[in-house]
Amino acid sequence: MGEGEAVMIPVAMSVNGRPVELEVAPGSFLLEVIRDALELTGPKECCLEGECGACTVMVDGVSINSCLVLAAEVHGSDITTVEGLATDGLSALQGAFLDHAAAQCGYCIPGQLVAARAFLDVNSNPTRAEVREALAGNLCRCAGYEQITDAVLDAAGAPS
Amino acid sequence: MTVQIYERPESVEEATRLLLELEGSYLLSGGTDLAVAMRHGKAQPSVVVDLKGIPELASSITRLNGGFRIAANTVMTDLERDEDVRQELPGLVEAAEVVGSVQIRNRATLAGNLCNASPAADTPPVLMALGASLELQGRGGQRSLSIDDFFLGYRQTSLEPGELITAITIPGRESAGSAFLKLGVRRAMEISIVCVGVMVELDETGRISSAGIGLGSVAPTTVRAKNGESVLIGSEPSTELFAEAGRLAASDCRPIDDLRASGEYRHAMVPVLVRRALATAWERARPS
Repeated sequence: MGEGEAVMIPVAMSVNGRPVELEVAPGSFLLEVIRDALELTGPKECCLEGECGACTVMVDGVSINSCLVLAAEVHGSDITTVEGLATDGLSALQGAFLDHAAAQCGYCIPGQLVAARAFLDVNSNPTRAEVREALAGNLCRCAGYEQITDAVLDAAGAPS
Repeated sequence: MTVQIYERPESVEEATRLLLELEGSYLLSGGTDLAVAMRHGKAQPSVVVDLKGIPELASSITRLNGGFRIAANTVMTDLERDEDVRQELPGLVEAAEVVGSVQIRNRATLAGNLCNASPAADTPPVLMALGASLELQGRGGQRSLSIDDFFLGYRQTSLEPGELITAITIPGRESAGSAFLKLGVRRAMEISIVCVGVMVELDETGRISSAGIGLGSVAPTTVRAKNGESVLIGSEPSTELFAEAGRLAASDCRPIDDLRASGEYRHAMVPVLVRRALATAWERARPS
């Protein structure tokens, strides 16, 4: 088989509550499909090897690195990106990030927010150490870790 | 070469057939290793065979003969959250919870960690120490293989073409404890300089009736420290005994220099980590 003979894969999924159906190349990663085909640019491209967490999205409520998942793999899944966190205005978690000035350059923040949301959904009353552990896969080159941790702790227990 | 075909078989037989029939096919489980290799061009699959549509491989942790049976697609997070595993296999939980980040652990499977066959992998040393066996299925049917016979060389396994791991089984033990220790320069997202998994089982008199020591990042494969184990079996547990087992375990490894550490340093750290891990495993094995 030569270049360009790839068998396109139909993918049906829910993205931030909206049904989406599209055809993807078998080797397309979820990150590129979300950004380029769906034009949701919240998830960021950065390390492309699962080290930095900037591309974090939720698949069926579970946080994953979208740079390491093929789009074909998530057929039938519910995807939540940072764009899906704000429903009626900013969520409490997003508000807490603002209150604590947790974003400096902001590049890592969509991933931080989604990772924090997924974490708070399973642990609504975390310790500081648990928050740090939960976000260990989300790097912030501005080193805003203290403010980010403060914001997540502040938002814990608050309605999402 | 770009991926041209994505297949999502619904049975192991179908997966085996696809792997054998389609040239350039790769198994996809959690994908946390394969995707990185694809991004870097180190793996160039023309066909990806995704195993997540096979019901019998789906995440499940069940009791088997007093031990455990862990289905292939069980992810690290599942191991971390299972109360029975936490209680009875703390060493395996300690290994699972240092694999990558939360995002990686939500995706990375136990079978994938074995099949990737990295010498620095976190879970194989403790699985080796626990005496795990692998349930395999391929064109020749099913077979069971000791984990001791699984790793043939650097990123090489004894899987036949078309064969895959369907489950990992861990034997039940009466009074046993396990522990895992990892040496790295940071705690999260770290590839080990050395990692150690151990198991100690005690008889009714408190002597060691069986023991396992697995070492990571000290040879082209995960290695079982048979010399270290031999001094333990039949002996009265003590700090001195664990130190001796650690010294002997160092003779079971042949670490190399790389960007993370020198071989000499790794060699010096093996006795320390083995001694500490054995002390912890012994504490856990003692009747409380």
